[in-house]
Amino acid sequence: MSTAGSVSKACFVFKSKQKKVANPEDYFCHDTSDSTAQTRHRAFHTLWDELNTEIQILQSDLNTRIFDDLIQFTQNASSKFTFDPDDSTHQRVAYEIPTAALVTGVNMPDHDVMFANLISLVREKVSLYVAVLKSNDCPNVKSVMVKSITQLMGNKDMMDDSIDDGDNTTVNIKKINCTMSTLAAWYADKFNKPSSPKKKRSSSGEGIETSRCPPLVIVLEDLEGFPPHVLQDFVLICSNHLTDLPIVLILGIATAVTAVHRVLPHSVSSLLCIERFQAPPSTNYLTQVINKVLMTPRHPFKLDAKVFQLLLDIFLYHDFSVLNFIRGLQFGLMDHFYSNPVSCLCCPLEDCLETVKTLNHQNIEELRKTGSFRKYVESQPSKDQILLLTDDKHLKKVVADLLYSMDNYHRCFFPMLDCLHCLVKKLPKHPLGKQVREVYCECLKGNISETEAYKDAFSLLKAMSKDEMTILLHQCIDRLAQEDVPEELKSIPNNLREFVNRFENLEDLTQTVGDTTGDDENTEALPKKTDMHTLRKTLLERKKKKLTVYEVIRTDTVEYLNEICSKYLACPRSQPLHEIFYYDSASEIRRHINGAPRTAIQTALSNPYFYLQNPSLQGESNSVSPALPDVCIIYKLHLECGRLINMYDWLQAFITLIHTREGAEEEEDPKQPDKKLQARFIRAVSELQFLGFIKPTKRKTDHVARLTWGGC
Amino acid sequence: MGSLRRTVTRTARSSGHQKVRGVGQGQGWGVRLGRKIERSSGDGEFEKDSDEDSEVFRPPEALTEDSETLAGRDMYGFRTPNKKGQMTQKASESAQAYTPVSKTPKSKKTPVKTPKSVEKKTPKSGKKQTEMVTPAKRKSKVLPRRPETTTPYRLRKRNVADVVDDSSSDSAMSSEEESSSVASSETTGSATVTATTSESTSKTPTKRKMRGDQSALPDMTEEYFLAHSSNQIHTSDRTLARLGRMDQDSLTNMLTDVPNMYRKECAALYREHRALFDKWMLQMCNGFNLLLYGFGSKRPLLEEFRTTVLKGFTSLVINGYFPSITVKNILNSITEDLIEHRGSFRSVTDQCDFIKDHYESGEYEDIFLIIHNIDGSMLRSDKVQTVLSVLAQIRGFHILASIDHINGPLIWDQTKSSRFNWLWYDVTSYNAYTEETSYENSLLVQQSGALALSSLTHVMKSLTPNAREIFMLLVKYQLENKDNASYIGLSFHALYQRCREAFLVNSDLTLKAQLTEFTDHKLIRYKKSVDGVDHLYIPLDEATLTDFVEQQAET
Repeated sequence: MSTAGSVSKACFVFKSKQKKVANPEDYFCHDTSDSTAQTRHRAFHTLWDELNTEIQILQSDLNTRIFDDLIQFTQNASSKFTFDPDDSTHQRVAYEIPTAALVTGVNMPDHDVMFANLISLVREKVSLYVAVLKSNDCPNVKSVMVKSITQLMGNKDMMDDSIDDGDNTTVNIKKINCTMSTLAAWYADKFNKPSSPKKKRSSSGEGIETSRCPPLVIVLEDLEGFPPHVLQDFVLICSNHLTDLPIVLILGIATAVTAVHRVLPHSVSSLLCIERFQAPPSTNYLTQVINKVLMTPRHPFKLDAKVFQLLLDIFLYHDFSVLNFIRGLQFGLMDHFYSNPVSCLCCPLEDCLETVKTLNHQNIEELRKTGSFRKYVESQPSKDQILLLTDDKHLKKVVADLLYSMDNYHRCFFPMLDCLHCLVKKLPKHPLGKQVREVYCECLKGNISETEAYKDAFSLLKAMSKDEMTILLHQCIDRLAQEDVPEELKSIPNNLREFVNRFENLEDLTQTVGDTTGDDENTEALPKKTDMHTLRKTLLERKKKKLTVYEVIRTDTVEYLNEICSKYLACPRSQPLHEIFYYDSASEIRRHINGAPRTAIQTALSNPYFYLQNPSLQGESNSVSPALPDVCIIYKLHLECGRLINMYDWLQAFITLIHTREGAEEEEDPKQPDKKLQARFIRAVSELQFLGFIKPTKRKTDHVARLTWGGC
Repeated sequence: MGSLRRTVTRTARSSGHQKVRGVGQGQGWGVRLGRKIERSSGDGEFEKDSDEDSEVFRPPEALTEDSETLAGRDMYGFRTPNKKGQMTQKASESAQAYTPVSKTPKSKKTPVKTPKSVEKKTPKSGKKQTEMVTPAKRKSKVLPRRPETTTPYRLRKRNVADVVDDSSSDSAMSSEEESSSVASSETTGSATVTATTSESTSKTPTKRKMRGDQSALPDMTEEYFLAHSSNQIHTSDRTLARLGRMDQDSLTNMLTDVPNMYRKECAALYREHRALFDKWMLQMCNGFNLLLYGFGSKRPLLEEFRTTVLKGFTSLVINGYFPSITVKNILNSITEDLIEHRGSFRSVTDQCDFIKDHYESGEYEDIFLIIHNIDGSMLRSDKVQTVLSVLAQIRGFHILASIDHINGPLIWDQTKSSRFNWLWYDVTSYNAYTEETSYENSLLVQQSGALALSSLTHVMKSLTPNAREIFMLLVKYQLENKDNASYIGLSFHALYQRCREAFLVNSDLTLKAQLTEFTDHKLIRYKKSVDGVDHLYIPLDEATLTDFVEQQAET
């Protein structure tokens, strides 16, 4: 069935006979000659599942505190509600709607998950009666009312009842008049009878706290998106029915609480009793994700400097969305396993060593091809080199060793990274950045100990006061005393403790050392006669020598720290076989995660050589070569125009160029140009119109308006 | 006490507040598109999250490292080529500069001489006499023909001011140009040369330089406003009236035998894209959706993907460029044709919910939606995109879409683009957009009006004689006023008067009832004039109406 050319239909359905499910493995292993594809696909799956669960746990943990507060709030808010009109407390609160302003941050894409979690929690712990409103469903008050009331009255609990009572309840919801009075009547009917509610509550589950009157929670996910008048009316309506209904509002706010006051006038916002809840910023979440997923020896997959930087930049400069960061990560993971044949070894060490044993010759050749391995071979004595390049068995042994040392390297790397981060995070001007991810990024870029920033940081460390220094050292010791630290690093805390002791016993030391130096000074008298220059020199030298004991110890400490940092924080790219674990094609991610359609189209039009690679298309980008495809010529000509383009002139210019190319057979009347050329011109122009470069205009006959202002 | 507003503050993390510039609801895409400009517009102006000090600001290098393609500044830069005839000038320049490569396949015959060496012929300036004077003997030569406009606009203006005979000065100047002598500043020759040199110095080299130059941008904004400040349109007054227009059919016929010069290269590109099919499937299985962009129609590629890789899977093809597609069509084809549900839905949201429930409660099944031109004019609205983005999230649904409009991605805000979870693929193909543009009312294609006419006659047949008469009244009145540019229609009252006089209706209510029939078929449109009176207007062109009148007269 053709899907083109229909003038009556735009959707074409191709239904399969049975429900077919795509198996990703089929597409992963498209190349049957590649025996590792299956292994890689399996490794990819297990790894991604692990990461994904870990991230999900993180996500739910992250908001627990704020959610607990919120739940507490909703429970408190509704507890005062009674149906008894004489109750004095009731009278007092009745004018203000208890409102929780949940400040969520601008990372809108992440909020869906967050609200879903929140709502399920509220359903579980506070009340079954929750309505969720999104701004794009609610263009007017009526739709707000319909949405909220159907959700409140038609929730699961009701459905369950309706099954018992027959089908009438569900039908009713569709037909009822959606007003607050209906809701109030329904609510009073349900909960104002002293006996019946209990029965219902007990039937619908134990998890719910058996408050006699459960609150009606209305969640507005994106407050800023609602039209102000709708919101105002809605709040007014709610406040009018506060005596009958225990309404609690939860407002999701992306910017700041002041948004409420901007949307609502004082008279309305005074009806709200707002309590603010600040969700942790997404940067926190990101930091945790990076810590748990990337900066850990547990997961073998790592990002190389450029990719890491790119994903971070997308996060920081585009959307603050952790969800998108994770998707970028997933894409990288998938691409790594798909396109890199050696990635079959990218799995936890034990599995990895197993896999090495099963490698066939072809796979081993792939390993030999990797850049880092070649470098490693070159560094070996020549006898070993031959063995490495010819003997597969020997190579397998070596690879196993290398993998082992890689694993060890990672185990040492991350504790040390944390130490370095402790040391540098509070330095003035933050030469290595404030966040651990920034330090990590520096480490990934190259040997960190050789960078300017690192040297700056250490020279700043050398100027620290004693108190600061001991605090830093204690932090490092604490970090290195944790469980995940390998044997190799166990001696470091002791050494550091040694330094701390020396700092603490400084008083005593100063005394003893002070005496000796004093003696030196006495013995070394100034020469009697000397010129100004030498005197200055000697004095300067003497001053230099006169380091206090504290300074000496401090220098020693910093030297020691420098030594261990440069030892354990070597760049991962210097490690042999790092290609197995590190994903480095940033361009792939940039192209596919962060596509630039307009750039592609304009490049295709202004520089077709970039895509077509035909030598006759090469040339200066600003000249209009007649050899270009029609639409490129038309495009380049239109760049020469202002806001409006005269079609006739355009056509003439086009014809001029085409004639040059085709060696204008005969001079023809310009008033009646070749129909074929005209047709080609029409096609090219309508393509430009389709792409959005021009549009028809009525300002002048036979003119089109230009829509871009580019020069290329 | 009620007016006492209490704002209790309880923060989970007291330090946690963050600022972003420009990222708000619905603006995510703007930021994305503008990112390249941002970099130059002012470092240190951004505020990152407050975790980082503003002093450690770091421009987003990783995002702007795009050595291979255009820099953003070139793309979004401003230039004001406000002179008339600059396009023509460029064309003839380029034509002169062009030396056909003899080995290129598409130039059917090598020109006798390279254009450069040929003594240039007198151009056809737009004026009458000079055109005739062109020596006939030169016609045999291969000539870089100069199109009509030669003089830059501002110069021509000056010439007029000097009260020089326009046509003669034109030809004089152009001939001087041909001898390419060093001419005085009054002549076109030197003016063209200076214009070009000044153009090229001011335009192209700076453009290249600007990549590193930060200070250039503020000037460019000035230029933008300069260009938009004047209401004058600096273009020539020629119209296409002299050309015979073509209709859609003859156009397609003409184009069938136009050879594609770069067939081989296009085929290579196509093969490259085809090789990605497996990868695409893998990525779709992993929850991503694919968005194809780049110049050229992506229909053939997507169709091939459907017929090969998606063979046996349930798939739905949606032609987004179709001029009357609605979101209802899309949803209906899912519920009626795929789910085979007989029943109607109250709203689009209900229908979406139904689809979601159906697919998420049952057995897992892969459904592939192929959307040609997801940015098509009927799908651009926020509502439609919201529905599509909701569909994208349903379990088992995969979307494979193409996008062509240069500002297309602006249809998604941050939330929607996140729901779609796009992976972008550049599949530049240089295929002609034949199918996609066939519906577009192209500027040069004559609208035959055949469709409108036939629908008109069909409606007329079903009407009472009185109603027919009323419509004819309106048609005739409109034809009488066809030369009146400010004609907005016949006022209701006037029509009523006329109808009464012709004994067609007896009250304005009956007239209104008669007219509803026409408005329902979109044969009559109401327009409000300045004084608020309704005017009736037939939204068809004169030619169709004349045809219609003739047709009616026959029957």
